[in-house]
Amino acid sequence: MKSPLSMLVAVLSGLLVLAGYFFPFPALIAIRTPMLDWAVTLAGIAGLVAIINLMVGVHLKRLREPGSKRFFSIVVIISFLMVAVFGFYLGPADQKFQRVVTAIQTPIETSLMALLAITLTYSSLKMLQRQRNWMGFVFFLSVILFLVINSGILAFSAEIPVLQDLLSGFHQIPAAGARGILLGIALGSLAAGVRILIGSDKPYSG
Amino acid sequence: MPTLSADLLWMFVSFILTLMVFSYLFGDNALFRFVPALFIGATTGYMFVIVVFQVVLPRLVAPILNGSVITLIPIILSGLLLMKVSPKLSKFGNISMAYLVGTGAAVAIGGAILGTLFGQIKGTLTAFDSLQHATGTTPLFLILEGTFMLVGTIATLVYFNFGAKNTAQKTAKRGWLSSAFAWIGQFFIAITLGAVFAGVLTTAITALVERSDFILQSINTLLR
Amino acid sequence: MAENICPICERPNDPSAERCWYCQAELASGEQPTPVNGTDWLNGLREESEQVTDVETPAETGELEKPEEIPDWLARIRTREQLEREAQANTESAQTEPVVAGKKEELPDWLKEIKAGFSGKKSESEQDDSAPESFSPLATSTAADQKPLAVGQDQNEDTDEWLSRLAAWKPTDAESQTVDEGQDAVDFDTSEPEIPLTPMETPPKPQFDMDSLAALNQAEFRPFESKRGNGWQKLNTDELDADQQDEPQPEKQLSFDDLSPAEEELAPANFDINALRETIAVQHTDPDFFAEKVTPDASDASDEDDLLEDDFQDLNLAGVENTAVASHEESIFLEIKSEPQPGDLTSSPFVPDDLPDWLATAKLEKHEKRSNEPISDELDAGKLEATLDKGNLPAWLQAARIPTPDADGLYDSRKGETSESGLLAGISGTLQTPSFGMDIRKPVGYGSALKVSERQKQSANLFANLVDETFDDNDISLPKKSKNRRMIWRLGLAFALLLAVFLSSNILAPFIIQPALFPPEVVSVYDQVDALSLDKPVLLTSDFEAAVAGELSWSSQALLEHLMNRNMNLVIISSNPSGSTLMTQLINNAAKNVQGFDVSTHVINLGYLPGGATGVKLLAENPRAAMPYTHNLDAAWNSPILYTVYSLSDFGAVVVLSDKSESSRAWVEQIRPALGATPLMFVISAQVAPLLQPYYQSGQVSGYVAGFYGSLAYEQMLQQTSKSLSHLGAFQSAMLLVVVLILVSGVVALIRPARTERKG
Repeated sequence: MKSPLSMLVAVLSGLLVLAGYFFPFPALIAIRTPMLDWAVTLAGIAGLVAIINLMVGVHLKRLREPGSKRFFSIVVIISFLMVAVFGFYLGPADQKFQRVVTAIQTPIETSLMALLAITLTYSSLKMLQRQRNWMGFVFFLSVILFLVINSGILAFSAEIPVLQDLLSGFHQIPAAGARGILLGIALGSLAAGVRILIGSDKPYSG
Repeated sequence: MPTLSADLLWMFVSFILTLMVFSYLFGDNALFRFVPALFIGATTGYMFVIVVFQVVLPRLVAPILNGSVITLIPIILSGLLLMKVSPKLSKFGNISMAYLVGTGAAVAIGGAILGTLFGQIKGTLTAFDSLQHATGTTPLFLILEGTFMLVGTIATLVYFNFGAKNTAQKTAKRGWLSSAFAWIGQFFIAITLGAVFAGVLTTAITALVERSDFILQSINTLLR
Repeated sequence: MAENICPICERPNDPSAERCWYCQAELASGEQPTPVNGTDWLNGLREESEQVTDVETPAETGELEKPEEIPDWLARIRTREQLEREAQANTESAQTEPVVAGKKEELPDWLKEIKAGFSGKKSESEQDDSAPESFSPLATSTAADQKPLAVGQDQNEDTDEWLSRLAAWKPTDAESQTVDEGQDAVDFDTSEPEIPLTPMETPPKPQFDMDSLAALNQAEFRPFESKRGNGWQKLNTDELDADQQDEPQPEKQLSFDDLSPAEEELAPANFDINALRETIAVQHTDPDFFAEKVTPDASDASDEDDLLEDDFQDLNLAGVENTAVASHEESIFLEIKSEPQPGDLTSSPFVPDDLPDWLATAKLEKHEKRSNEPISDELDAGKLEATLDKGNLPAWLQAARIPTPDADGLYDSRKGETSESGLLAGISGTLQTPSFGMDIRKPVGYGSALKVSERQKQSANLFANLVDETFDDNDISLPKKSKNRRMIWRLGLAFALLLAVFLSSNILAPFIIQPALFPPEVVSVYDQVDALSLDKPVLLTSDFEAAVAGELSWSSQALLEHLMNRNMNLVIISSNPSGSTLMTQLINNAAKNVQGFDVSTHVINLGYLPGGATGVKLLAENPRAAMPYTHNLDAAWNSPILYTVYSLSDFGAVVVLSDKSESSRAWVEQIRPALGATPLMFVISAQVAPLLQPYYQSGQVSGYVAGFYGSLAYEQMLQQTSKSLSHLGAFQSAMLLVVVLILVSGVVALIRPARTERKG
């Protein structure tokens, strides 16, 4: 057994939290709420660890390496320090500080998403070239149909009851498939979670 | 010429950043590579401030200053977790990770059972239950719709079952019933994934329209 | 006159020759068996090395090599029926037969046990007394059953001896050594038969490290799993023939000769951990099998070190590099067929006595290194690859290397073909580029619990390639022409889309189609908001990234304005760091359009809630504990908006703005049970809608507004004309253009034959 203490902590904490779902005893809830609170705090600290690791473990190290990566690491570190200093000085609720999100993060992320429209369209052009089978054909038809529905140009179908019923029926197909997928995901989560709670999986012992 | 204000300045920054990202259309270039570097630095800096102000201070510092002794536990766990930064001390962080993973697994199990499994199975059966409250719709239609949903759900689930028996030829094969359902399930999955893909494309096109609008607005504002 | 073909190098020799003139391998005397399917027996062996598949049966090899010299026990194992019948007959006559006969009698027993172990059936003896599980290297050394030519006529006597010696081996402690994970995965099938053995100094009681075993990746058992139903343990020749036709051939075999030189020259070799694993999995060997022990030869260790040093010099490789060479030898055999290579000899079941030392030890060095690997999940594929100095590899080895063996079995059907394009262009016997596109990825390590079909694997790889291709224009393997063509396509598409967007506001404006159908989920949201009680605040949770801020600002605008028009108190929580700021921005923008709504008095921002689903669960259980302060670090629950709230059900409604189906699912799963009658509504990106629909149908979600078109429907119900409507033309134009382009390309693809068909 590699780390029995870690496993004990994982199993005990997991079982206590899980028991609270099914046995709403006041004592159990009294234990469970602070336990969840600690987990939430730890999740935040984990984000901090990730940031420190990214800056110190990756980009500061890259400063010693020659090449273009070094330049971009300098950009990363400088922008990080500027925003962090600015944020500590003004506080996170300050409108000026929030410009970091609205004027830098949002345009970059949205523009990347817009680029995705072009690259996805380009990839979609090859859809049937790559998958020349009935599954590919069904997928192709489904994409076309739901793009048309999403665009809203079938609004005129409101005046044609048959078409309206047909569209309503088409909506049911992905709903049935999605329900199956959701149930599959839930079963998978259940299995993965149980493996952790019985100590069979130890993803924390890295 | 508009007067130089903070809003205008930030709009100009956003405009330039947008154009730098779109420069990728001409292939990978230094301008495009600069943008992700800036984005990563700014975002992590922002996250750093947020975590300190909205996690460390209110959840660790403030309670301990208020005399909450029990807060020592998350403080210790956080300290151990911070040791993950150092490769030498990393193993001490395993306890905190174990705690996080254990509670996360329990939350996932509870949610999956009570939120999705029970909810969705109930939802599948509710389609038949609605027969009692049917108004304006023929019962036959409701039965067909409910059956359709039921078969679609089961077939999709069966498709994801990869268990099979070894045949005499030592090749794993599904049973005929399972194969039939899996074949139907494939159909439902293809339709569903097609709908999801269309959704992603719709989202991306919406973003493109939004950015195009922003570019036009910015040009208008800057030229005014 | 028939020539005597060398089993090792395939070259013809004089019929009277006892040894190969070229490679000095011992030749089979007498007439050679008729080649199967027009090829000699070694063809099958070589073909086996081209793919990671099953292992050849000992019975078959023995029969084909030297029919007249095959001992009775080996002859008997050719058919299962015969084995069972004669085993029973021999048991009765064993007491009267000489010692050798008695030893012969033992072999079928353990062979049967091995067979039972691999086939999942118990042998007769096990069925009788279900012996305790024991550790046997033989149980895993599949090809150890093979009887090589070099052993000659002493095989009967040797049988007992090698069995005893094998029983005496034990694994030594594994030392830390990083190994290429991908390489490891590829080598499993070939390495299993080639088990380096170390003499045991202790009694040969089954020993293994449970911790090490526990650390084994379950996926590593797959090769064994795949072997369970395959060839070598099948003793029935009829079954064998059928398998040879149906199943891919094994890659390499281990013969008795592979073991014998190892014992004589390089004694302290370790057990291959793969063999150990398989042994544990089989665990059906008779414990009596280990009754005899062999004392290890202490001098062998130093001999081996010297040999290894020599080998490295001969190979011009450092130690690690030598490992890499050895580990790539399967690739060597894929390509080099026409002439015998040193690697062939080392991996052949018939290693001649005069095999060059460096080759023999190089092979064993591989085993030793592999057995010294740390038994952990931390095998880093990149590390070893980085340590390899490819420049030092012999030219023939570099030329022979191919990217990855095809684990999907595609190779079998395509071997012998010459790839006309792709990385393997011009190399005979390699895979052709699949018609669905080039797949240059490493084999994906699918979990052992899954039985994924070839088609599913192909689909998964195809999807991954498709995604990669989307952004991976820097791939150096792409020719410049192709890069330019892509860039032109992208520019053309971008130009067309932007043109459609820009022109739509003027030229196409009369043609836009306004929403007339109101989706029931949107209507439900509208009704719920309209019926909200004013004395309860509404919880707005931000669970989206800045990437969809544009879409969600349009989608949520009408809903937020509706809430503000009703003068509702709003509480903001964000489950990602930037969500709180984005949400504030949305509210500020919406508030500009609503007169009389004061953000400072009606809105309270509780900031960031970390932890994902755990955080949501805490919020559902105890909101006051989850969010004790506002984002300004003020005490949150003393404010006039929140002082009456103690649980989530005290809110008038919960509205989640989300762009991810996973987090949407987490919100539904965790907070729905705590909400009671409080409605749970979503404003989502269009990509989330298909997976949220079932929750709406089951009643767990009260309603949702999805995407740009959903917000337009909401606006129509509110009878507002907002900015969103002005974007509708651009949106519809771009969507229709994309639909037309995809449709046309699809029709063209259907009409036009596939590229491979065009090439004939």
